Amino acid sequence: MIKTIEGQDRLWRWIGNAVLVVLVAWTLLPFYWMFATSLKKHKEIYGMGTTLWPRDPTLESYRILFFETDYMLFFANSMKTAMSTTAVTVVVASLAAYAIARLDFPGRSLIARGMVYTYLVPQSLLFIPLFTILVAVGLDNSLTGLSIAYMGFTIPFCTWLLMGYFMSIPVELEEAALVDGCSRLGVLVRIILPISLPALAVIAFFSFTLAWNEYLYAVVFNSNPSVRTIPTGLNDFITEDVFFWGPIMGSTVLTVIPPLIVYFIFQRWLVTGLTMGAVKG
Amino acid sequence: MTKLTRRTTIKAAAASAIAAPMIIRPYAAYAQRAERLVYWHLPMFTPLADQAAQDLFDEYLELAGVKPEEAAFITVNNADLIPKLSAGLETGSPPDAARLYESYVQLYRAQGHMMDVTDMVEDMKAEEGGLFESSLRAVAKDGSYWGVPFAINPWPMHARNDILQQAGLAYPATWDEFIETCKTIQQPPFYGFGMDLGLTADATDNIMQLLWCYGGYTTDDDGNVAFDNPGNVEGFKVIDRMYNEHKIIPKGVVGNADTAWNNKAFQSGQVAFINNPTSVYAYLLDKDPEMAANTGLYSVPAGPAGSVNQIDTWSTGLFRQAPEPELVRGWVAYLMDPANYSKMLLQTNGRFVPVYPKQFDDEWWTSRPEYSEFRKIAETGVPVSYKGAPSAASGEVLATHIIPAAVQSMIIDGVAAEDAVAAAHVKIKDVYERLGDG
Repeated sequence: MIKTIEGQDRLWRWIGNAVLVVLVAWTLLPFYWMFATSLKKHKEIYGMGTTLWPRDPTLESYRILFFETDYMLFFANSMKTAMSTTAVTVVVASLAAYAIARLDFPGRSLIARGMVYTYLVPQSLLFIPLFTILVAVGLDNSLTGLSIAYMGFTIPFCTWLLMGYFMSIPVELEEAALVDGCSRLGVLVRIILPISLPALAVIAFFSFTLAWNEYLYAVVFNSNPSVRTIPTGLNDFITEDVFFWGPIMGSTVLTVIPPLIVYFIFQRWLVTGLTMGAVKG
Repeated sequence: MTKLTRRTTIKAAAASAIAAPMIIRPYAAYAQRAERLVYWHLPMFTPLADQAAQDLFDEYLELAGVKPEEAAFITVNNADLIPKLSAGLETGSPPDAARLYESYVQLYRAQGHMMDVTDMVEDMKAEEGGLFESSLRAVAKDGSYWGVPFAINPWPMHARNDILQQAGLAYPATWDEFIETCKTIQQPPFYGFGMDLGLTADATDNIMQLLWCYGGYTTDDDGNVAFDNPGNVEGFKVIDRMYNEHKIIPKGVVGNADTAWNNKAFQSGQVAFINNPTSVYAYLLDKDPEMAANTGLYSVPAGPAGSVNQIDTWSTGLFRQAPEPELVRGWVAYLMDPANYSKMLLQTNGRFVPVYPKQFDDEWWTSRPEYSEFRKIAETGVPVSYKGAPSAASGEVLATHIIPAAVQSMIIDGVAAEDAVAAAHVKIKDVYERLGDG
């Protein structure tokens, strides 16, 4: 009987592992395909039949990217936009979320609800009004304008996300610090934020990836090549109805690296669960 | 450190409210565009041609006494053009000029955005040899011109000459011969005809080219929708036979939503014929010269109504919002000066046909027999909206895939050709009635 139960457990584990293998393959194969295609020659990409690994690997697509296009400029622009959006979002959302979660002031609940409602408005509905504002204040064709537009999405959502997290932190921790003479801002910086690192990591990652990947605003708001970002540069490899797949895949391979790095940096905090055991009996 | 209280919060809010306009106001002063001239350039397939256009722009700035920092030559890729332009027009900040495809000149003219450039086009017509009449259809309205013809885009039949030679066959002269040729040379998965029958823009173009050869059309000479005509019904039946009886078109094409699938099929050697703009050929010249050498560019085979070829046109639209209209008019005139224009267009390696017939006398064209039919196509070619001129309505018919959907209803669901054509007629009529003048 025991053997049968053990056997059943083993069977379920095997099934579970098999499902996981399928899911991992499902996730990784597109990345593999991207990478393999970026190493193929045009003729092989468009050749009869499909090759899993390049017959005659070449770095030609990457040469085109680095030496015949403005890829590095677009990369730097994307980095600046994503970093500034992330930094401002983390600071502003932390302050706003703390104020809404802990301070009592008129209109607090209205602002809290407003945060969610603004996030619910589809991005594609707002690009014309936002563009009108940016043109009016002379911030079109600039990375500053683009970052500010992204913050219109990241700050409300991240504030709303942090609010919930801050509310789950026992208020006794703050009261103890206040009794000891700490100011409100001191409480936020010294007590709340350190134990909220998992949530901060989440909002930082969210803000970075949104700003890094966003296409519509980047393409509409910025025309000048000096302020274009990577997602808008990918379309340069599609001329009319002809796709230059090698450079498209090469740039995509390089483009996924920064979000991966950001993810691995923040992953530590995402899994540590710093609030556990913060308050005893 | 000051404690954050309700009072301090309200004070801070009040201070922000007062300060905000003071911060924004200086920015508002910059809202006036810094550049005197903004031109949106669409890539022309070869970096040399793009560079030639940029060089002409720089030359013009010097001639016009405009400092480089006072002007912008911005390359906008094809896919981004319309969203960017729509946003620019909505906010009152379009470029001063941009290259527009086919029906967009009429769309923006109807919306009141286009400059009347009749005098500029008349000057071009006065050049030796004039302009191809076909290049004027997309820009003319009620005796005036609302865009400057830029280039003609022919849709020749691309054929694998090497496969034909191996089979001892010549390029087929009629659609009946075409079907027999395809049946002879194809060996699935290598198919005869990469006809686009998916819900894509190219499908409407491919279908209409065949229907015209059987006497079909979309609108009559007066521009009224007349899709329900015997020529279209006969053409539909031919497509049905090609797909279901002779099986010379790959079955999977009907589910395709990718307008570039036929390019890929030809480029990868999976079909013998495709009907497409010469973007495919330009690609082959650059990336696969061997395949390019084995490719022929021909007029479409003839039907009872002859061989009717498609062209579409690119035009330069000048926007009325331009702060210095004379400056942008001067730029486009300089670009279209026959000598300057030829210098740039020849760098496209045959991708675009010049709007000036005289330029076909250039040694570049006369020494390349592969382009020998282009002049004829440019002279006699018709737009997809045939017999009418391109318009916002014809653009919507193209974008909403009414005609390919009707063909699909016939070849997949078995709807009779007559009924499929009649159903498409009703839908097309609705679009034309709704969009009217545009």
